Amino acid sequence: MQVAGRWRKVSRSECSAPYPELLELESGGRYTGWNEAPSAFHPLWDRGGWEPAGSGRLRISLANDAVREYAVKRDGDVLVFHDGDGCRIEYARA
Amino acid sequence: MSTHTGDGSAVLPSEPPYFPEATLPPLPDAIETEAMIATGEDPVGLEVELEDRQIPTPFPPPFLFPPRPKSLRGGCYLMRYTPIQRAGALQSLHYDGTLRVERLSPSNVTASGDLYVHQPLKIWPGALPTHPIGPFKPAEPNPALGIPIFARRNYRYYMRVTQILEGATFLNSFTLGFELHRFNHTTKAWTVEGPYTAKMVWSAAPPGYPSAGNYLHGEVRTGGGVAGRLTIGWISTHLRKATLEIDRVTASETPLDNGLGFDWRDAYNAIGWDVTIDVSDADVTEPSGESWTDAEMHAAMLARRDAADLDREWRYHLICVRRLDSTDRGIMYDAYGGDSNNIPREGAGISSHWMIPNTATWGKVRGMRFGTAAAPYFRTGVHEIGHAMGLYHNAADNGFMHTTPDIAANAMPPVQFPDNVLWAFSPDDRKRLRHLPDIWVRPGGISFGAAYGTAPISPTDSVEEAEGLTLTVTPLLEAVPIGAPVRVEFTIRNDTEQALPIPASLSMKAGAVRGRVVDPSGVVRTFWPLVRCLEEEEIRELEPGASVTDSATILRGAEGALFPAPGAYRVFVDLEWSLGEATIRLSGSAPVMVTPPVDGSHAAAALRVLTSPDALLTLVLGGDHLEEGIEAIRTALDDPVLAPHYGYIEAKRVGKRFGDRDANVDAAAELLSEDTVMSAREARKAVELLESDEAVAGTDRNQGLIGALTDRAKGVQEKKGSRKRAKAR
Repeated sequence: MQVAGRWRKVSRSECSAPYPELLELESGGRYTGWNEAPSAFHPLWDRGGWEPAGSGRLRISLANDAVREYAVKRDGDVLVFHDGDGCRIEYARA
Repeated sequence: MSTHTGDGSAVLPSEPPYFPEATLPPLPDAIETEAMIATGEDPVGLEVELEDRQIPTPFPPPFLFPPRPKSLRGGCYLMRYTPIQRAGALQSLHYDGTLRVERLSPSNVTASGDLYVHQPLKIWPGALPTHPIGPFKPAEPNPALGIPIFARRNYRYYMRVTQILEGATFLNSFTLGFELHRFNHTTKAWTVEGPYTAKMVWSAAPPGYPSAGNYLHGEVRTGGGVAGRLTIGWISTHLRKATLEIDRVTASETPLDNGLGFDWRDAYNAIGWDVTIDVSDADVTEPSGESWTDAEMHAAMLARRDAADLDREWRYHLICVRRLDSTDRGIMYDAYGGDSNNIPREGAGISSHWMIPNTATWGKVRGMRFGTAAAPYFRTGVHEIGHAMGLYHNAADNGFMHTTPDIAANAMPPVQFPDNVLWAFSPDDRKRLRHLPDIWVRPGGISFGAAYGTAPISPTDSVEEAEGLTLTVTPLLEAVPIGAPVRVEFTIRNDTEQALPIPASLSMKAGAVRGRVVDPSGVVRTFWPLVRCLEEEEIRELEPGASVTDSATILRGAEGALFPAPGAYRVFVDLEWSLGEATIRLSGSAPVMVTPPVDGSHAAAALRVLTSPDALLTLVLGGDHLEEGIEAIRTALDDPVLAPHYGYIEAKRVGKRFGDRDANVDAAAELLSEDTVMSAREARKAVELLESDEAVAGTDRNQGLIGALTDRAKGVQEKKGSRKRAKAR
């Protein structure tokens, strides 16, 4: 699954609020996440690494350097993450 | 303390009894002024002591006692703020805290402070406790003991210092300007009070202060008169004080330094923190093998920590283990789901047995076990404790808060990692550690994860006021219905006889314009430009006597809706731009009235818009992807009260192509009329939009509309200005 590139968050749910508005997944396994508009949250994904973790899963480091695993599905220009707590975070290719 | 007059008002005595002797241990004698020049370490260039310098005396001396300039000594001051007592109040109340004064040069000062409530006696007239509850009268902080630590539950205010003595004065006083940002422990939100000013006068320090000549007092004033009394007395060259305890399992190394002599104290001295390093247990038991979960590290911290009262000591904890379950090198586990006792940011862990990849990227430490690679191992320890101090990742340079793999990848041959590590916090992180509120940086304070923009912080030390320029803010409408965005126009005028540099763009999409909205109860909400990190800012010159006007449409900010309830607001527009090494600032403000809903339809539409975070992005960015924001704006368009305020916003969206959808200028024109509320900038954009389709622009109706909007757009223009451009930096 090819997920590198720039993605813009589409989800507006409360649980998705800490995730960045924009996410740049670099092909080398690094990423940058940031918000364009002011937010109450610092992006949970701010700067770090990502890597595949088996079929349909990605490991992504967080702002406190923890690494969390997500189920991920790409459908065309839509990329959807599911965390382990039932939160769905949808991005569209920017 | 205050005394009451016959009419029930309160007055302040000239010299209050600062520290009742009965409540304090014996204090040392005051030290003579000339001996006050610090001889110890000078962590952040704090020792600019003009008043203590030997100034050559001319001969013959012009005065018997030649005047000597005074300056505010850098370092930490013990501070007490005593508000004027309200008539009928049962007990006096005051606040203790610290004021941090950072001097980077003789004329460059940044200062901030924090205040904790000090309640001598229980106010509420309830039943007396049935058992002793400790000292009847809590002791005042002892200035002889250095930087005091206050209980978190008593935290009340951040003092954002906006005016202070930058250089030196031959007078015996200076004006301190500040705001008090009150912290709500439940909502974690800040409410601003003030602005305040205090004419601070040097006077002799009471016994116990280590610097008799660096003690000041002043009457605090606000718009309504005298608000209280403030005293500050210098107590330390450092700004903050903490302890770092390091525990480890037997097999792990203790990260003491970078292998080249740079150690923890060097790292923290550079930011003005007096950090005691407590290298403690070396035999922490592994609960489940070599690799640790976050919960296991948290439990080990609670079990093995030498002290645990975060209200008496800012103690951070670092545990060194062989492996970490949740990451490779290090983690500040006391965040998000890892904080099992709901006391945030107490501890972090690092892994000594992670094997550094054997690839060229990792330079001189490739293939090494992490604990044996002193430089990156120590750096990771400082990085994780940086998170515990409330810092996030920072890619501005190769400093402590950048991520290790990125620094390794940044190495440019022949320099190899870790020789390219910058052994310092980046400048913006240094400022955060010195001047963010106590409750943000201290362990057990605000949870990790809040955006920096939610916390107040004093303006940066190098900000200069743009003397000669004035900024006038004018609302397009002095009263707007609740739920409508507020449009303000702002004009910069050059009142001097020389050309002055200003930002080339005043658009909210550029980086120079930001602002604040103060609601009727004093709550401050901020709004920022959408693009903040311009590497190169364009500036231009504004000719003598010339002015330039622009406008902004504001609805939401970092803290949500900017105008969430009816009432009187004040909108501050702040312009900041870079000029060489300095930041130039210019501010202006205007009142705006938000009127209540007129009916149920209006109330429902306003609620929808105010509670939709996407509404701002839709307003500024447009586009079809922000479905919730579009729906909110359509709801507003269906309401006759709000429709004129949102017509342009929807017209802008439908009039532009998005993805596979073509631009529909005709539909956009239908949304616009001469009654549509638009700033001058929006009117100009609307004209451009209508004229982009000749067929639409050619109708009689739209010809008239274009003419009317063109007149309105004349607000965005420069009068007698220069268009000469130059690059800053």
